[in-house]
Amino acid sequence: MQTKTVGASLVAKGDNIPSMLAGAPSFATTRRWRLIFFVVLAGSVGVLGRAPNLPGPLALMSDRLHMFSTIFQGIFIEAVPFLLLGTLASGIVEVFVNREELARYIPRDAVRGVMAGAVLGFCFPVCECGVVPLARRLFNKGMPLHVGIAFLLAAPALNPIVIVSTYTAFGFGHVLLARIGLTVLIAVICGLVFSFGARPERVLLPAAWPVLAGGSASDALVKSAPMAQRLSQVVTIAADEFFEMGSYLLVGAALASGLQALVPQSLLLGLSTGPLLSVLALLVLAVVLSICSTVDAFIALAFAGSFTTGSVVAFLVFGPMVDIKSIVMYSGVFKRRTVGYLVMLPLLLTILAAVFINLNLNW
Amino acid sequence: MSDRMTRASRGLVMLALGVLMLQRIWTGTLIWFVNPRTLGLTWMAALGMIAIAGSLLDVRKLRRVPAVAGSAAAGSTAASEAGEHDHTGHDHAAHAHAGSGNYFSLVMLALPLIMALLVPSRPLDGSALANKGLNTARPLVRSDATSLKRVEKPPEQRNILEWVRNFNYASDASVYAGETADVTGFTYFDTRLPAGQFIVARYSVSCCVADAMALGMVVQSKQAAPAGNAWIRVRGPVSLAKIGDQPMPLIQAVSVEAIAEPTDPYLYP
Repeated sequence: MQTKTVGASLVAKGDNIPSMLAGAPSFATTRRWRLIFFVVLAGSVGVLGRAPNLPGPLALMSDRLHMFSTIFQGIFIEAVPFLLLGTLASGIVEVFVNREELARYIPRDAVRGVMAGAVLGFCFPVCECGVVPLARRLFNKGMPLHVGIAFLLAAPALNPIVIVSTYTAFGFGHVLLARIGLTVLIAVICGLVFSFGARPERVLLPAAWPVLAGGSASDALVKSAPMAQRLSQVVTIAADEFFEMGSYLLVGAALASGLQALVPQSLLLGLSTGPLLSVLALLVLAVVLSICSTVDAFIALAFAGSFTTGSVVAFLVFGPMVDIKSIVMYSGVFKRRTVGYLVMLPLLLTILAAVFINLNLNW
Repeated sequence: MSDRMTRASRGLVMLALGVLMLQRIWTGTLIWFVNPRTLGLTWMAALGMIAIAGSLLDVRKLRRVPAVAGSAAAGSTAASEAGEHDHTGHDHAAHAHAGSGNYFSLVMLALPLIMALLVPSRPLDGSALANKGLNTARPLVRSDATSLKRVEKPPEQRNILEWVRNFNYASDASVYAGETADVTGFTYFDTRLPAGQFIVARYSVSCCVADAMALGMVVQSKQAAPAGNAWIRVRGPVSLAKIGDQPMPLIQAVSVEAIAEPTDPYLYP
């Protein structure tokens, strides 16, 4: 059975398909050039990273490279425990959770379904790095599209850890309540959009398609295999997924740290007052910083004194749903057009709500 | 790549990542990347990765994984382990197989290792500040200040974060005028400041360096200003300054001495 991982499609676009069309010799040539390219790249990175006393412009590039490297590794070290938890949870769901059992717990009608999806984060306290592999596995297990999307969008912000950290930072008040309320609202609206006849085959990549009834090997495994074998399979699945989702995470981390190293954020910090402009500035910052939702409240606190309340709420609501990391990881689950919807819908709704707060509520 | 190769190389990459994280903890360089609050999580992740690597590299299990590339009948690593594995209607993208996607994910996951080898680790320093931006806009304030209290410490023991926080909380910051500051940080030359003044700054890291934010105090010194991005210790009485219309603590430096870069370069709110 010819299988193709989602990661493969990223690579395949660049080189494999043309070289396969052109035949074997050019495949070897492409490969050689690719190898040469990577050796040269690694060599120049090594020189920039290690050589002392570089002349002016090269020294500046070396500083930027160090900044990139430090932030990249920082995001990786911070995200890896959560990624590991998410992939292990996914492995456990695959091996131990039965399709029929899952179906029994999910409410039938769309509205209650998306509500259930939105608060599911209380059972799976994962941030955005862990929620994506878990959501994909739940889709595999037949979780309806709209429920899964509500879960995906809400869980990173609506879980005990994040609520406690938001409470610690802002206390009980408008910001905490607005964060919870708006997250539920936006997740529910987006979920409902997908409940109107959207079919999994058109929205999801094959990797996330629900397994046909009775077709899942693991359902059989739930009943038959001994515990040691099941646990061993949990680990194998978690490792597979760690590499697949991890590669998306690291593409996102590389983009985020590249942007931080090249684009000055000091410009954004100046746009703190306009009812719309301040919201846009903090939304851009939320996407670029790609901060874990478990701590973003403390970052938001740093802006609370100078930025409009609406923009701080926007930062706290939109950041966990969409940032560079999660956009790249979404593209491992959803078709490209769906990823577009999942970015644009929460974005527009957040802007709408935040500007409303700024103009009409005196918080 | 054959399934056996895939499994083995993934095991090796995970092992190396786990060891790299342990090494960071061991040498104390972990705090160059993340807030020490996440130490427990990092331990857990490092040991977890090493444990998973151990399972992937288990020779008995590896033997049962097909060594032929792309063998259709062989199925997945998971399948050979589970004994039976029904393929009908089960797309295998979820557990990755032989294919170029394997190379891609291997290279991506090896990237932190490659970067660690090629670029010597270094904490975020003043050269990044121009990009990160100095947060002069009332950082660390909340409207109903109940949980994050002002720091009640003798003034000589406050660090830059605590000074900035106290200034932001005070309804009248002039109560701090005349107290003596004794802080360490790196130098930064802000173009908004007049000649003879510079900023002594530190990064405040809430979670990881991606969220690092620079905070600073203005230094007024009669001595020749030290070079940019140099670590210094500044002592002297505090008064009020302004950047834009933002009140900031200013140190009338009695002494500015160059110091070695501290092993814990960041501050943690």
